[in-house]
Amino acid sequence: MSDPTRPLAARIAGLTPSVFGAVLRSVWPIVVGFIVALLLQAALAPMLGPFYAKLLLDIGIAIVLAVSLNIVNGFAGQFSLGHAGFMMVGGYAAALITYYGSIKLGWIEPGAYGVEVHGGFMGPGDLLFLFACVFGGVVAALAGLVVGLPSLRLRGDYLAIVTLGFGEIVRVLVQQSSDVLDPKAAAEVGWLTASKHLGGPLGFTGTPTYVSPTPWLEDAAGNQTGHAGIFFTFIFVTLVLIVAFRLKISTHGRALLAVRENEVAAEAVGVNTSRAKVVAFVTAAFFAGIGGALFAHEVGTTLNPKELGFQKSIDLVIMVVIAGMGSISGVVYAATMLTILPELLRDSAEYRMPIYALALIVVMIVRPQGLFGIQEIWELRPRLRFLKGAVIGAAIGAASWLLFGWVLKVIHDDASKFLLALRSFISALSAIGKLVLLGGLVAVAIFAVMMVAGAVFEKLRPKKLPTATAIAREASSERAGADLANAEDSPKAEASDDKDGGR
Amino acid sequence: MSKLLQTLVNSIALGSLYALTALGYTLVYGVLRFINFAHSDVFTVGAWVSFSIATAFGWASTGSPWFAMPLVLLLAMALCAALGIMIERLAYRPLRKAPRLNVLITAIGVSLFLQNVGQLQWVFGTQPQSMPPVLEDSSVAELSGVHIRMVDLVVVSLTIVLLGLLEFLIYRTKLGRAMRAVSFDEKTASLMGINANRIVSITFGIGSALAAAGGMFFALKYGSIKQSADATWVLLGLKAFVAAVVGGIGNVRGAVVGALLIAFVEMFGAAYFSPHMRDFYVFVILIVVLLVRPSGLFGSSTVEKV
Repeated sequence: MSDPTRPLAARIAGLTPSVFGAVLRSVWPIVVGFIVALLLQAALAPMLGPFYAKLLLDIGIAIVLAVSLNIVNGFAGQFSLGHAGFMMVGGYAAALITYYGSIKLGWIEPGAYGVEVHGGFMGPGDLLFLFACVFGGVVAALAGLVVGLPSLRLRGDYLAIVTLGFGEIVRVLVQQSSDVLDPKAAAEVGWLTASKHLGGPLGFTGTPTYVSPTPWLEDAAGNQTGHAGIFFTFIFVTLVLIVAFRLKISTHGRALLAVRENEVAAEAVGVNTSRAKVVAFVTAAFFAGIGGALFAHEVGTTLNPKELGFQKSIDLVIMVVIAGMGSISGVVYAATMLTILPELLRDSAEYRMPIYALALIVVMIVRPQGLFGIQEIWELRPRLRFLKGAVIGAAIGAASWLLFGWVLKVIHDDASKFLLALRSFISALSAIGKLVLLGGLVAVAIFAVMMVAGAVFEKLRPKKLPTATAIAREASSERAGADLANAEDSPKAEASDDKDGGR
Repeated sequence: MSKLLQTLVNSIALGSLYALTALGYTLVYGVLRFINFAHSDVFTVGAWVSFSIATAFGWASTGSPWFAMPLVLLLAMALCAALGIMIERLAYRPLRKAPRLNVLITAIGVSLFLQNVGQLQWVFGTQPQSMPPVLEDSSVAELSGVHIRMVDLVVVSLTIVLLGLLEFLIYRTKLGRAMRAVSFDEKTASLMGINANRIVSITFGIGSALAAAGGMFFALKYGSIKQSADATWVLLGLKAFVAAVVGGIGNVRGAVVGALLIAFVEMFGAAYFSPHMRDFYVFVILIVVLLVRPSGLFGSSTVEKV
């Protein structure tokens, strides 16, 4: 591959990919994401019906949030407990834009309290919503800058506390705001006044529900039946995934990982640790803000300070930590599973958090790097043993969870009535079987999809380019070989050239 | 003037509650160098356990004999000490050599576990309860408009007694010397024949017992106990933590000073500015302290070695 007659600079230049190839490689994930989002919106959502389509939305938003948290917690190793705070900043900023913006643009039904969605697919309403999402992201990113700066002085526990404090401060400030103005009153005030009316402790009610699971198609009479919420959500999912993957394989991402592993060593090899950390915070906060904006406009959720408190941050942290800090696909998997599972297991909802907490402790003790560690799911392929273990472990875990919940329920409900307990055991068994089957199927299906997607990704990924160090080393060894050849005579030099060529 | 004095009285009472909890953070940080996130939940469990004990004795309806308060206090402290030791043994000891981030996540896990198990129907439940009046609550003294409640008086004096005992334990006994040795350098302390694991367990026990006392006093002072996952507890624990940080984490006397300071700021802020912004003041103090003087008011700044 290396032609020793060419000078080093020319060889390095030869390694940079062609413009066309580079463009193709940059564009295909966007195209794929676009198509997938379109398919989910147009084909899958109508098939699933409103309930599961809403679940799809929840999953999308959870992925945006968890993957963005992964950038700061997983890549940079800066443990942030205030992700919901960024979400709240972004969500409220976006709601401010869409609610008061719609009123100022005169898109309100007379007499209605809330603001309805406006315009068709990619119509003015959607454009306002998209602008609001980006605006929310930008405002959150500014907040990320504010929180990122103290992170330069703090590490570990203290940083966790400060981010937590940040989340609480945002919550308290939002709670201090006045009630949401009704459209008539809102039309008369300026933006500054409007921004003081965020609903207080009751939450920002009346935001238009742009993120709804219903298809965007018009009905026979030509009325708008819904909005392309799933499409937009998954466009943002695509965006955050691309950014995260690109970051991970780039110099910046390597710098973040270096900071995570050993800050002092990273600094010693020339990583600008301060910059790396702030970049991680700002990027994560930006996408958290977008996640918050999506959340603010989702059907069936209320944007209130209680919903986006400490608990929400913890939910996200659990997704990242259990999946493996640094594994993007792992975090996507965890976000998907941890959004679906509570829906499937509504009966034992009260046991959800104790189980999560136990899982967190056990994972930390048994497999401190999380289930996938820093690897992506498809990178685990050669290690089927581990995969088998994980599947068996998951099955045992699910079964024991269900059994545990059922036993507790029986003990609680009718400890004395043994016969009744037996009967409910039999009926519960069938229910449990159904749930395990369903949960397992969903888990395996998602896993399989991700494996396939990952394999495709691997194929399309740029080939590993030799680093500058490797080229330099090669060049120096060649020079050594050439010196040797000059000193003795031809046959040995031939051999050393062959060896270089084979490398 | 009377408002000023009243606020002063209130903040001393609140400060002593914070101090009891802050000590647990500081003690554990002293020996293990990590923040025990689950500490505020031990506080919560302390409140609930004292409620359960008092209810089990039937003092909710009938009124209580004179020994009710000390008995409940001692039982709650003993139970929580056991809980703290158990947590350390099961969750933290396996991670003694692990990176600090892992220990931190585990601590959060333990905290979540305690919160949510406490919420289960067969543990403490989700309903807020009112604490049985194991202590007669009356205004014992009124000086020119300043009310001093019996509860506050008892809380403050018992806190002083407990702090005195702790001070004696740490600086005047062999056990205390061992604790300080482990805190200073665990490895060398072990070489000198100190059983470091035992000392860590005891430290956890003491911290948890103090937190239980704090929890019970809190329940007595405010009368009602919220469900164990309520945000109030988390906030309370956080404020105690802030107190420990402000005073210089790892420093026992600093924790008390920090607790009083936090309580003063909170109470005066609430009385003279906006009562809704109490939490805000505390977190602003935390951030300012961490940025300006991360080692706290009385903490000794350590040079990080590579």
